[in-house]
Amino acid sequence: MKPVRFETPVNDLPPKGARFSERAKKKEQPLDPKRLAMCESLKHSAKKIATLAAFLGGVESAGCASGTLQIAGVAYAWDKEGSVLTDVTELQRLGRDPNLEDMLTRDREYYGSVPFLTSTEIHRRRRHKFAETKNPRPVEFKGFERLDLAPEKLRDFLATRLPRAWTQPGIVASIAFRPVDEKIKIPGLEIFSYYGRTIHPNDGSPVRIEINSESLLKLDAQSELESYFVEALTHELAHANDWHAPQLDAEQSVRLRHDAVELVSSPRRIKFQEVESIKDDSRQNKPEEYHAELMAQGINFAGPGIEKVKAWEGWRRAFAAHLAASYGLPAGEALKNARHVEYALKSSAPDFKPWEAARNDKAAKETLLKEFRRRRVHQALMEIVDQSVRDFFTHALDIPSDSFSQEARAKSWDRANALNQEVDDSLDQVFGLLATYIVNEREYAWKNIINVLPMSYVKGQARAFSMLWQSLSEDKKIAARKKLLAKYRWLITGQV
Amino acid sequence: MKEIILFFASDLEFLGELSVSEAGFGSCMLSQAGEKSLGKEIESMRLNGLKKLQSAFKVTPQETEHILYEAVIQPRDPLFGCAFRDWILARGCQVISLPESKLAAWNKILDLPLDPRERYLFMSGLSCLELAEEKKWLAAFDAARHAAEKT
Repeated sequence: MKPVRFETPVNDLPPKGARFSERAKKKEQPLDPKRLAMCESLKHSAKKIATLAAFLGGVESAGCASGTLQIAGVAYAWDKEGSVLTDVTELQRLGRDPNLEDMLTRDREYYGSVPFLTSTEIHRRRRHKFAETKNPRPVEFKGFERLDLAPEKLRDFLATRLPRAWTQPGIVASIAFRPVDEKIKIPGLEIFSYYGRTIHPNDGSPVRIEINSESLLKLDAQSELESYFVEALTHELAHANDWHAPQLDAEQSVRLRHDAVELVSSPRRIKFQEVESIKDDSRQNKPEEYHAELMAQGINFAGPGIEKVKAWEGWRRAFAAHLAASYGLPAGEALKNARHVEYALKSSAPDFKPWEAARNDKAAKETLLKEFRRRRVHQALMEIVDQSVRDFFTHALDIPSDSFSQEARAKSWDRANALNQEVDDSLDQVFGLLATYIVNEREYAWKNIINVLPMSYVKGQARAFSMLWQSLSEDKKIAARKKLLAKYRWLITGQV
Repeated sequence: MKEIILFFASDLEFLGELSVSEAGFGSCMLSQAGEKSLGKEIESMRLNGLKKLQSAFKVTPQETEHILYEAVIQPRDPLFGCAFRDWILARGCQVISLPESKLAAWNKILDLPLDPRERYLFMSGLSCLELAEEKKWLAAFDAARHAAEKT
C-alpha cells in the first residue's frame, strides 16, 4: 500500500472549529446603527442579486428572449442577452395604476405568451438611451442624386408637411433612395421588389428608412408616383415613431400601444386592406400596422372642413367625420380612432398641428414631386436614340420656367398650330407630345395632363420617333430638323 | 352583405360608385368626370386586379424590418373593397362607404338641385345616422324635391 502524503503536517493544522473563531468573536461585538443599516442593505442587495442571477440562469436555459422580474417590490427588466437593464421604476409605477394595470393585462391577452410589455419597454429605453448618450447625427439623406433631387427639397417637405419631431436626431438615422432590386425572403412569402422599408436595429440605434427609387421611377401614372411616395414615406415614419419611440415616456408608450390593440381588435375597426390581410398567426404585427396606416391617414388628411380648423377639437371632429364617412364607421368609433392619432401626435410631436400642415399640403407635395416629374421626363427623353434631337429636348427641359409667360405660351401654341400643317404628321405628333409634356411640366395644369398621359405612352412615342428618324435620309433629317427647330425654338430660347 | 363605395374628386365632384361584397368586385358606375379620370384604371382593375402596397415583417436577431411591397389584389378577393377604398383615398379623393340599404338616400340627393360639395356633405352626414334619424332626413329630401319641382 502506497503511503498517503500530506502537504501540511497534520499536527500543524488548527483545531476543529478554531478557523472562524476570530470572526465569530467580532460578530458578537455591537455595531453602530449606520454600519448595521449598510450591512442590512448589502445583505438585501446580495439576496436580490442572487435571486436574479438564479432566475436569469433559468431564463437563459429556457431560451426566453426578455422579461421582467419583481424582487422585493422592485421591477427588473432583462434583455435577450440576459443582462439586467435597470430597475424599471416606471413599470412599477404603471403596475400600481389600476387603469394601466388593466391595459397591460388586456394587452397581454392579445399578445399571448410573448412578454411584449417588456420587449417594447426595453426597445424604447434603448432608443432613448442612444438618443441621450450617443450624440446622434441629424437625419442623413442618401441616394438623391439618382433622382436629381436636392436633399434640401425633401428636408423642406418633411419640415412643412410632416412632424419635425419625427425626424429629430436619434429617431431616424437616414432616409435613403436606393436602387434596390433584391429578393426578400420571409416565411411564406418572397418579395421581389419593394417600395419602402423601415429597419429598427435592436441595439436602439436610430431607425433607417429606405425608399426604393427604381420602383418609384417605374410607375406609369403620375398620381401613382405621388401617392406611393408620400404614402410610403409617411407610413415608414409613423413606424419609426410608434410606441417604441424614444421621445415617449413609459406611460405614453403603454397607453399608445394599448389604444392600438383595442382599435385593431374591435369588430368596428377601420378595415385597412393591408392590416386585414395579415394572417392571424402574425397578429402581433397588426397593432403596429394599424397604427402606422391610421397615422398616415391622419397626417395626410386634407379633406373637407380642414380649412376652418383652428384647434385640436375641430381637427378631431373633421377627421372623425372623414373616417366615419369613408369607412362606414359609427361616429363613436371614428372619434376613438381620431383621438388615437391626436394622442400619438401630442406625445411624439407636441408642436405639430396637422390642420396647419394640411394647408401646406398641395404646395409641399408640388415642390417635391416636381423634381420627380422632371427626372421622369429626362428618362423618357433618353429613349430618343438620335443625340441631336435628344439634346434639343434635354436643353429645352432645363430652361428656367420663369422665362415662360402665359402670353408667350399662348402665342407659341398658336404658332405651333399654324405650322402644324407644314411638318410631317408623325414627327409632329411625337414632338408635339414631348413638347406638351415638357411645357406642362412647368404649368400648374401639369397634374391634369400627366394623369391621363402614362409614361409608357410617352416612351413608346419616343421610341417610334427614333425609329422613324433613323429611317430618314440625311437630307430629310436636316429639313425636318429645321422645321422642327423653327417650330419649337421657343422651347429653348423662351422667346416667341 | 353588399357595400357601396361612393367616390369623389378632391373638389368633391362625384366620380362614381362601386359595389363590393365578400365576393369582391360587384359592379361599378362612373360619372362623366369619373370615366375621364379613372375609367381606364378601373376597367383594368376589374379585369386584372388592383395593385396595392402591402406590409410584411422580417425579424432577425439584429433588427426588425417593416417592408412595404406591391401586391395585386384580385377582383374576387374579399378584401378588394378595402383595397379599392385605400387606393382611391391615397389619390386624394374622398369616399363615402354605405350599406346597400342607404343607396336610395344617395339617389334622392342626386335628384336635388345641389352643388357637388352640398351633395357630398349631405351624404356623409346621412351615412352616420341611425335609422330613425335617417327617415326624417329622407322625408325632408322628398319635401325639398317636391318644392323644387313646383318652382
